[in-house]
Amino acid sequence: MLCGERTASVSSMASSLTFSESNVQEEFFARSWTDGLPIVPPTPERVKAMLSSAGIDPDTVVGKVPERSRNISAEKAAINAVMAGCEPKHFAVVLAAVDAMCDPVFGCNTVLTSTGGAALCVAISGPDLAGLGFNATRNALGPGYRANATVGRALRLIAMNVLGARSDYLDGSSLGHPGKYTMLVAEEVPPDEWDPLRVELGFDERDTTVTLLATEGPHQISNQLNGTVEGILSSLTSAMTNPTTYGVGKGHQVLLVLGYEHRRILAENGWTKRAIQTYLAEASRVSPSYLESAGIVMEHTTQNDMTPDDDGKLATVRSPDDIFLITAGSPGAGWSAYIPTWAPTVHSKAVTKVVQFKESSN
Amino acid sequence: MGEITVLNPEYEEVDLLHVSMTSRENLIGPVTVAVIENSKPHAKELLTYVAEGLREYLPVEEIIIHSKSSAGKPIDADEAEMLAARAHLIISGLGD
Repeated sequence: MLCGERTASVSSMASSLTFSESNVQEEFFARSWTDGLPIVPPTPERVKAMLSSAGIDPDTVVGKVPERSRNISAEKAAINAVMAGCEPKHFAVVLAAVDAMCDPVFGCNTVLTSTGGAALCVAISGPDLAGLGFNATRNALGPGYRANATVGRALRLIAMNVLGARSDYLDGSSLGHPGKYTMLVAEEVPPDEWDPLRVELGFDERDTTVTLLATEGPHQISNQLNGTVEGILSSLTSAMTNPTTYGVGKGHQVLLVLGYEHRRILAENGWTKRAIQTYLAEASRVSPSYLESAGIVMEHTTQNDMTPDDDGKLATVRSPDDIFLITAGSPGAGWSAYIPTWAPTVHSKAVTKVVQFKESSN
Repeated sequence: MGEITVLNPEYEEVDLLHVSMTSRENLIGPVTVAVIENSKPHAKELLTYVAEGLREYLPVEEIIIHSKSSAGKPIDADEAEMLAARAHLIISGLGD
C-alpha cells in the first residue's frame, strides 16, 4: 500500500491511511489535523479501546450541528480523543462535553466561528474527580495532569477536525487565546457549608457533570491582604466589571473559580453560594458612563440593546444563575479566577450534561 | 521503523442530500425586497441602503427589514417560510 493512500476501513466508517511511523506526525501536521502540537496516532486498536470504554458503537451520532450540515459520530470523537492523548476511561467525559457543545442552547456554530475567539471551557463536577485523575487543587488551571489537559484538547480537536473550526476554514478568531488548545476546570470539594456545582445546578450529588461555557481565558484575581468578606466581594466585583470585557453591560455569564482562602472566608462567615451570586449580580451592574469612560460605545441593536434599566444601569449578568461558582485551587496567598463567557447570552449559554459512564468503568 | 495505519479524524461526507438552487426568474412586476440583517451594529443601515439602491434597477414596491435575534443564529423555518411567501428577493449575509 502506498503511504497516505486512503482505503475504506474494514471495521469502521472512517477511512484509514497508512504512513511511515517515522513520519506520521509530519503527515498530520501537513493535513492541518492537529492543534499545532504532536498527537497520539489514532490507530484502529486505540480507537476501538476508546469506544469500548464508553460502551458505544462507532456509528452512533453523538452530536449534530445543523448549521454546518455535520454530525459527529462516536468514532470520529474517539479518533480525536486518541489524538488528544485521552485515557479511554475519560472518553465518557469527552462525549458528555460533545453533547453539551452540540446542544442548540450552546450555539456552537457561533462559538466556533466568532472573531472573539472563545475557548470550549469544561467545568467538571463529580464525587470522585481525583479518582478519575482530575486535578482540582494545586495549579488547578495549569499544566501537569493528563485528564485536565486531554479532555479539553479532545473537544477542541473534534471541533477542528469534524466541525471545521480551523483557522484556514471556519474559525474566524482575530486573536484566540491559549485556552483554545484545552481548558478544563475540575471542582475541588467545596467547604462543608456549600453544595458542589452539580447540585447547585439541580443534578444528583452522585452524578458527574460537565458544564460547557464558551469563554475568554482566565483572569487571575489577587486579594491577598484583605481577609474580609467585603474586601473579597469587592475584588470579585471589580474583576467582573472590567469595561473592556465584551459582555460587561450586555448580559453574559461568568465562571468564578473561588480559590482556597477566598472560599473559606466567605463560607465561614455565613455566605452561601446563592448569597454571593445575588450580591455579585447586583454589584456588577454598570452605568453607560462607566463604560463610555473606557471608550465603549453603547449598542442599540436587536442582539445588544444597551438601553439602561430603571436604575440607570446595565446588567453584566441578567440573573444570579448566570454566575457559576466553582471551587478549585490549593492554599496559597489568596487567589481566585474570573472566566467570563466571550459574548452575551443571546449568542450562547452554558450547558450542563451528566457523564454517562459505562457501569464497569467507574 | 515500519508503517502505521491510522484513522482519518476529519469529517467525511456520507449520503449528502442533493440540494439544487432555486430557479432565478426575471423580476418585472412590483417587487418586494426583504433584508435579513444580522443585528450587528450598522448591519440594518447598510443592508437597507443596499435595498434602497435597488430601486434604481428594479420596480421595488416594498422593503421588509427582518432583524435576527443574534448574528450567530440562523433564521428558523417559520421565518424563512414567511419571508419566502412575502418577498421576491431577499438580501442576507454580512460579516463584521
